Amino acid sequence: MIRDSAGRRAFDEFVAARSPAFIRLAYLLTAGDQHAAEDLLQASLAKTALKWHKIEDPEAYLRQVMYRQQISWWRRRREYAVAELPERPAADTTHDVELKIVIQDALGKLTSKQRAVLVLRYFEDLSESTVAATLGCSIGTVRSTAHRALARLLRLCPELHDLYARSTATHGKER
Amino acid sequence: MSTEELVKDALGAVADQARLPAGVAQAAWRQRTRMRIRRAATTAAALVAAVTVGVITVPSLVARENPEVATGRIAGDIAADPGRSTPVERVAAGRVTLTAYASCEHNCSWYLLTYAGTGGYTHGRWGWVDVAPSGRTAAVLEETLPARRIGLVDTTAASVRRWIYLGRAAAGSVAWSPDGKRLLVTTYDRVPGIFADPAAEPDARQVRTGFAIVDVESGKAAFHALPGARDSAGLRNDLSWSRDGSLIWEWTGARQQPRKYYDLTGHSRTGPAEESLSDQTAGLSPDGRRLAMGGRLGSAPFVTDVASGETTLLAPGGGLAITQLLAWADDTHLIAWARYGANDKSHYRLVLVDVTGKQKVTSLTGWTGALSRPNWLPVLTTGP
Repeated sequence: MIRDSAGRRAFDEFVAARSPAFIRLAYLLTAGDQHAAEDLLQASLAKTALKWHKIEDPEAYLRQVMYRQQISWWRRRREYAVAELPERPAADTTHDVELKIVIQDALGKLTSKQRAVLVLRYFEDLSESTVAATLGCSIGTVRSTAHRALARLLRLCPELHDLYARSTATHGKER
Repeated sequence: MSTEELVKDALGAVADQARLPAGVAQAAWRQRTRMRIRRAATTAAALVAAVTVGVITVPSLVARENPEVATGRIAGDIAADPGRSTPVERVAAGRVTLTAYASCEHNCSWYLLTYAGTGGYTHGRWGWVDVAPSGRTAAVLEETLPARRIGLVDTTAASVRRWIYLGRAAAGSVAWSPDGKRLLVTTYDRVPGIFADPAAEPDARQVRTGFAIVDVESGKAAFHALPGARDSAGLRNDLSWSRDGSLIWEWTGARQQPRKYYDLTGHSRTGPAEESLSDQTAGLSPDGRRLAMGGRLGSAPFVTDVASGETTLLAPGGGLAITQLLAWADDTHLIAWARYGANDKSHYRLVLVDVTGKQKVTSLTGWTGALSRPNWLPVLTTGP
């Protein structure tokens, strides 16, 4: 019982410290579906809790479970139920809000694996080798998936192109 | 700013919309407990040896009065001991005989149906018992598990006839093959208790290590590593024979694929079409027309007609709930656990349920005291 309650306390501390970051990851992996993100986080934390006393790096383990859980749900449903997106904002709303919606929409159109690679590689800033270990694939696969996912995202989301052009133009002037 | 940096910013902006639900740690811990309970439910169901096939001939050799209950519908006899929570007199229905059981409080005591002396169930200092399809021989493991040898008990004389030594293999359970010629031994370094608490912190060392197939006649054993799933630590994860004895299987705890099958060397194999879909120990009826299923999460179990897909919920009424389908007594009758009362303070008894018509229920044993789950484990041996 002592071991159990100590384990539970450590688990609670871990969740309190890291769940704000992991709900963000879950939100991106589920292409912006809040309910699915909550389900994904809870199911993954429950699986982590099952192995709690044996896990050396809970953060890496949880990340791996989240990805695998998401893939498994996606396979079971065959197609991911993308959250109902609001209508695109009218022209007078801010560019930032519109960009968020467009990106969220585009994320939902990527495959589960492409989304995971993008999120882990560019949002979480993980190295290619860490992403490969998390996803259980080779570094080459991570590289090619990231390349394809990025190209598809830019195709689905031309606003990013414009932003990129503006950003490089601004940098050019600064130089 | 590079494309990658732009994507990072854009993803960050999307992620900012995520909201952290309250009480996530508590909810996750509760779900963990439910997952372990689900696995425990399936492993507990797996403990019932309901797949040994053969004719129980021994009872007919014994001239003693059985408390038989006439129904006229079931093929074969019904013998019951409905006045006692754990039976003293022989219990049987159709092709199935309760050949042994473990009664568990803090520790488990084993009782074996023998035909020596006054007969009935007699206590033995065993850690595990399974009875051969013939009913004449029981394979026993000694009280302190894991065991290093298997005893073969002559049930007509109630004495050990022979020992089979397992060398370094540490046996946690043993099951007779349908042809009664081989034994399937599940091995552990440390053996989980029969009714381990799934909500407790598991002992990581209590995981299945593999299995052995023992040829009874020669006493030769072939061992194969087949480690149990890590989340099964602390819970029984015994292996069972498939109906025809060509494969072995284990419960997975998953609803989609409740049984995972292996060949006799431990390589993963596709399971038999209908049988592998059943999440109830009873599985497929003897004529292959009905499949026992469901009931894991508190809802009533049901029987599916294999040809039409039609399902019949087993809900006989009268405040009685059917909770686990253990074995088919014949093509239309199941031996099951029945429950009476609320979840944490329920009474349990073994019953025979007619899955057709009005779902008539016949009591096979008496009610237990008020419990959260049955406190004894039946070993059921099935004839063809």
